[in-house]
Amino acid sequence: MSRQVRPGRPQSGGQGGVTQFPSSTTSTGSLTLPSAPVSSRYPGYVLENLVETANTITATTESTAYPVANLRNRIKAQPFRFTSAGGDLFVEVDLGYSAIFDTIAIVGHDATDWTLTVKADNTPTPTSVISTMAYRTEDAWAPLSATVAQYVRFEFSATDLLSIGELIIGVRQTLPRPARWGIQKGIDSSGITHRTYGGVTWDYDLYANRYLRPGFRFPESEYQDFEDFSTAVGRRPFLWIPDISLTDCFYVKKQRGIAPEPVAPGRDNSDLALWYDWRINMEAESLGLTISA
Amino acid sequence: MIGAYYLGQSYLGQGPSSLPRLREGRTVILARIFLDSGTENVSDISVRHPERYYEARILQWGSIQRAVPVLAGLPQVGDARIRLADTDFKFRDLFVDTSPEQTPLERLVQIRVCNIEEPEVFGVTIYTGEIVGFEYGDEYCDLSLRDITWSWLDEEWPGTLDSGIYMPTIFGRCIQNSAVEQHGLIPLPHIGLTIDGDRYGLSIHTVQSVIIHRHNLDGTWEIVDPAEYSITEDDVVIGGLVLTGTYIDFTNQQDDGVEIRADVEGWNERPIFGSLAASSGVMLRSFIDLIINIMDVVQLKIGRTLNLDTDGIIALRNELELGVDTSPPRPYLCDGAILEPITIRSLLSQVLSSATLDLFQKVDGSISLARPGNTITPYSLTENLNILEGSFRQISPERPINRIKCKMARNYADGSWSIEQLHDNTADQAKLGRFAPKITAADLEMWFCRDRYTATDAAARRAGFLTLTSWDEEFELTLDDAAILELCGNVGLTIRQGLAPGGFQDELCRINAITIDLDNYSAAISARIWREQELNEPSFVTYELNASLVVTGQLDAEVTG
Repeated sequence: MSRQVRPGRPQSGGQGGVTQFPSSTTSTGSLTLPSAPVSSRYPGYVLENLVETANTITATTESTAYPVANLRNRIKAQPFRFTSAGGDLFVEVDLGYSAIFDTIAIVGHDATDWTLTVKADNTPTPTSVISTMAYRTEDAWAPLSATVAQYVRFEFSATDLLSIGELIIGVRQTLPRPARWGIQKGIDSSGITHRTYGGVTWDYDLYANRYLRPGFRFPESEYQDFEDFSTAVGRRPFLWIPDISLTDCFYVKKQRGIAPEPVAPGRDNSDLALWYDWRINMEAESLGLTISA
Repeated sequence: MIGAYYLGQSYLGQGPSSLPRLREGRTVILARIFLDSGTENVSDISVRHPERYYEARILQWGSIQRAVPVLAGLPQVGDARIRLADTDFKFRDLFVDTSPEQTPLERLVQIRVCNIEEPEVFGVTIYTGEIVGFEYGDEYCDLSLRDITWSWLDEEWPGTLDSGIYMPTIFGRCIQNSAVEQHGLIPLPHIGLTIDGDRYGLSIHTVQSVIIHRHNLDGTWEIVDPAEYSITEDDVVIGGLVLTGTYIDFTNQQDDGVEIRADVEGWNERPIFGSLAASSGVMLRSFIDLIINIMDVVQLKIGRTLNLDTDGIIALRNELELGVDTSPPRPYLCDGAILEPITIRSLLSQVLSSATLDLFQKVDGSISLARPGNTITPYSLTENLNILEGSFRQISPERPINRIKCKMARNYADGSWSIEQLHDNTADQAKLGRFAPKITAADLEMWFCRDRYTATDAAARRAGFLTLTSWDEEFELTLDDAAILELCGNVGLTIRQGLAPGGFQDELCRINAITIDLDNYSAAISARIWREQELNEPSFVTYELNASLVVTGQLDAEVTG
């Protein structure tokens, strides 16, 4: 019985519908949307964050110790912080040009709930709603229809003083196929245990990092896609969306390099082509600790 | 959360916590680096504080030691070294910054241990040091730190005038012991002719009273008629420091070769100190008053305020007022002088060893004083809860001493000790000798002691660390247990291995050293068992080095002048 070969990259053309606001500039920057809409179950990622190259970031209020610059320093644990809570909080990003994007994310926040409206336009204080991002603990993301805009405004209503680690606006890339064995996840923790003569133990938790280890089995024809992904992300932190049909997302670093194991032809396919197994080891960036004054 | 609470009290710091002590959790170590360009806050994990962010840059914390000598004396603080990650070259750029131009050298670093569930302010500052060097390697930076709490110890005690003449410091009753042969105890330096007369230097401070003795060219001694001289209080300028000193100005020029000496009731002013009011016009004889005055001059000299444990020091002063266990109790009396250049380290060492006192830094960073004894409530440490497995060691005394020869009542005129007083531990002498008592003796120079009862008590307290059973106890604790322990504090050890029938049950030890291993979240403790000694009666065990001396009153001579 022949086995069906899964497509390397989803086929179906066109750029899809793009929300294009009247623009004062014509450039859409270096980012481009994937050539095809992607099926569900595929993992996605955002590496190039438009916020990092934005002209300005402004906010309703800004803590001196935790300025808006922290929203783009690639350190999730070092957040931006408002100085007040309430219903009129905003962060507005001037991307500097009409840029195209289809993904927004807020990582490393400490809100216990929120009402969030994301607006975009090519003029300051945009009014066109592009998303009402649902709350998710610590890290949250939302897919957008492809949008071209220079100004993006996040309007929060939060009962607690809000901190945000990183703000991400970008174009979502996808790997050519879903993870084969699902996503292994868990938490690596390190600590020191001291034991007294009486057998009482005293434990120091030093740190705990969430890890993700999705496994992929892919043919030789897709090898380059995975290698490109590996090379592109390197050791930079990036937004990893294990399944673009779900709400989970993580701000992670990937273990260096790519080292897939060849799989004997015929075991998993019918065309005798070389296949690979690769388990990607990713470690989520820590949220750090909080101490009161 | 970490073992941060104990019996309803905060285990780290003094936080008002009612949480039970738990055995799991997190203690964080936080460091602040005070560069000219601003304060850099670092830790081994990212920590968000309302007012600052601690970057997770520390790769290695190293260890820090705080110690006092087993026998009374000055503190010892080890250097520290921390390693920072610098893959982004942040610290490289800071160290060579030109706007503003700066160097990390001699800038302060503060290390604190905090409980993440308690406010940061309740944490404990375990180290404050200055950067004395750094090593920059492959995207890391090692900072070498040196404790600065005691940097002033190596300053010279003021006394040397620009002319090279040394002005004395005289504290308490510095009077020659002999009542029949008065020669004066303090030789005075000759400054020379001034507008006020033929001037001799008496002290860098005001004094209560003085009697002048003259050694004439014909070899005779006489007490100088006060009409021949005036006692002048005037500014003494030493290295920019202006003090109110005392001079003896003779109306007539003294012949070449004449020697002038003085018996003096010394320093008679003490500044306000915490809740202790200032004192003026009264001779001071408390060891604590002398140390307060020393600290006052030190602060003037170094131009900064020392963080002093005023409450603790005043409490010890009150204790010493009734410090000698006699009936009725007698005070510890401090009498002594400085007549030649000396560092503050040596000066304090002389003062502290004269009264068996320790100078040390508390966990809150303040400088305090203590003396050995069983009046300090011990902190209970048990093998069940506190003492880490495999760490407990007991070491016999390196050299047990069962006799202390107190060299006291310094004769500054001839550079000798007027009195040698003995403290004998007869029980140990009998135990050590197989067939007859065996005496192992050590000298104790008591530069600021002329009172036999003070010497008796101070020697007995010192001897408590030198008995045959004054074991050194070494063990390890968790960082939380160790971070709150005070040097010179008492601990009560409960452990079956303890060298006592049935083991130790709240065995009293005094902490001499705390070495904190910040990478391992543990600390090595060194303590010694203190055995209370019976006071030897001074009148039975003392003798005069010069048998011709006649002694009266408190075994000091009264000035008959």
